[in-house]
Amino acid sequence: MTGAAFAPSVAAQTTAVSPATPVVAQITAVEASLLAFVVLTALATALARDVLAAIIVFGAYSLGMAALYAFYRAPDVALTEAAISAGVTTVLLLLTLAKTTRIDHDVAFESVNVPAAGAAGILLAGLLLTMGDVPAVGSPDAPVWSNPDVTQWYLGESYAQTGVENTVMAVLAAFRGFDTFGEAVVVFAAGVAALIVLHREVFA
Amino acid sequence: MSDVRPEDDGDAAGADGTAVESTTETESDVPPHRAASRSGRLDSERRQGTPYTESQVIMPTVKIVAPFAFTYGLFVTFHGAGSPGGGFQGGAIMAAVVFMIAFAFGIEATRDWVANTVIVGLAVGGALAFAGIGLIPVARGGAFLQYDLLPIPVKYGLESVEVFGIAAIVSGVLMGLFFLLANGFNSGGDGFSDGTAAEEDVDDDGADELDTPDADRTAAADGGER
Amino acid sequence: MTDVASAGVDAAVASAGVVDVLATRHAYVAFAVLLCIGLYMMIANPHLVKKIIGLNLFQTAIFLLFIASAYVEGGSIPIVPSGDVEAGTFVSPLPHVIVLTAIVVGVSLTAVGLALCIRIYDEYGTLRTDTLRELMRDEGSLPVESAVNGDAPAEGADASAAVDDATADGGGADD
Repeated sequence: MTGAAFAPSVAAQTTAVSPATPVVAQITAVEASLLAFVVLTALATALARDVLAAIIVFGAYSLGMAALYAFYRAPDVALTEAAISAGVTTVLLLLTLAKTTRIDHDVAFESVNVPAAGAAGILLAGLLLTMGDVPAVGSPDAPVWSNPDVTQWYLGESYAQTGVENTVMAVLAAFRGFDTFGEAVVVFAAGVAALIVLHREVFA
Repeated sequence: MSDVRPEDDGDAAGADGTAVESTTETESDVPPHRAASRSGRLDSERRQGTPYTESQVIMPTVKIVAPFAFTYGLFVTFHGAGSPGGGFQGGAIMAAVVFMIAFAFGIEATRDWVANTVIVGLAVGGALAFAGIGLIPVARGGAFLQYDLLPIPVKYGLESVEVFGIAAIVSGVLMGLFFLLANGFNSGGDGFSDGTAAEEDVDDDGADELDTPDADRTAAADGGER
Repeated sequence: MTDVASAGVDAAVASAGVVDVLATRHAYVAFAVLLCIGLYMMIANPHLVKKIIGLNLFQTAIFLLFIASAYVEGGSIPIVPSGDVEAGTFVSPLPHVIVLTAIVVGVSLTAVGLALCIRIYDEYGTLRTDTLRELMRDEGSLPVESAVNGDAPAEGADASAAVDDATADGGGADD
């Protein structure tokens, strides 16, 4: 199966270190349970037949993702995901459901569409085959983190050049400020586009 | 009724030569491309008739929680420089507080309280503020959004962009999208004229009504898979 | 015999390797699984709102990839107190920035998509793509395919008034 594909890269890796001892710390219980929760709620969202049930489980999924981001030391992203994804997106979906139809179903789960599942499975197999080559989660020699020209430079220069301690905000508003301007304009354009689609001139 | 509406751009029904232009209330002259629902009324219109029910749990809870939540949103916005937070988070939290108030006290009442001017003013003012703060250094001969050419220290320039720019845009647009989607589509087709038909929509609360959907789905149930 | 032994050792190393890979790249495996679940929802579900939910699943899986790639073992949140970088290790803030922007853009996308869904429902009375295809074929917006699915255009089950001449003439109408 895929073991043969794993053998060359991993064999080289494990012979470099001692076999069966990983380079970084193993997965913790909190992390494992969060990941399992997220995957299970995503499966429930995909297989739920009723749209309302799918939306509610999707809200739980967003909350699980926000907790996962907080676990990976990304509090800004966790706040944003919780407020926007678990809050605003769920509300907008429920409003759309209120303005359109919803059918009561007898069965709880949908039937699986096999060709689509096959296509998704092929993509999953392709992605999993590359797993041996990406650096481990949290490894200190990942290029993203250890390259002195990229992350370390931004971490060092944020306070010196902007006086702001939150490096994410410094990068967002100062170093990459034009991207943020473009993104703000995109949000504004989405409001205008929704107005046009629904044939309105005023929001309220 | 949403089954009939004036033909505005020569659709497929215009192929037979008779352009249906009347906005009559009858369902007999449904244009051929419009799907007639089995019961004669679309599901969402039947649902609009349900009156807004006051919930004795949601209202007092929201009355207590809303000020604190709004203060937290402001806190997250203003303290984006030294702790996790910023404009996006704070704007989303403040918009979510308005959603909460709308669920508790009725979307129509909240729509009247938060006037359209406030929403549009926040969104447009935020975009103009961001662009303005970015263009002042250009006027002084620097690059776009070059903070050290502003008359205020760099840190305050960043914070003003976050507070007056991003938080305003995000909160304004999210609130506007909420009220827009709650209004739905008024297929009388006169949303472009003067918007007076917008206030004629019956009060409907999206989340409250989903508790009692029994009477709503009889027509849809015998209409088959929709 | 040495080949068999080495093959055995190879297989043992490989199987231990697979478990090892899954244990150290768990977030990326979850990313792949969530991506495919979102893709499946977008392809397989005929309901338009569920397609939009699948799109959001897809997006959040990508965000997980970015955030997990920024994480460093033993790192703290990227708030540098008074610019003292040497005080400890910090996770990388750059993927956080990308994800922040992407989340907000994603909600804008979702909102416009839902507005379109409301409009489609008002126009056609349904949110299922298979029914929509029949309806649009009946009204002539879609070109009539010659017996692909076996249902002739004149017998559209949810079609409105049976104005056959209109649909026949409207076959060549604009989109």
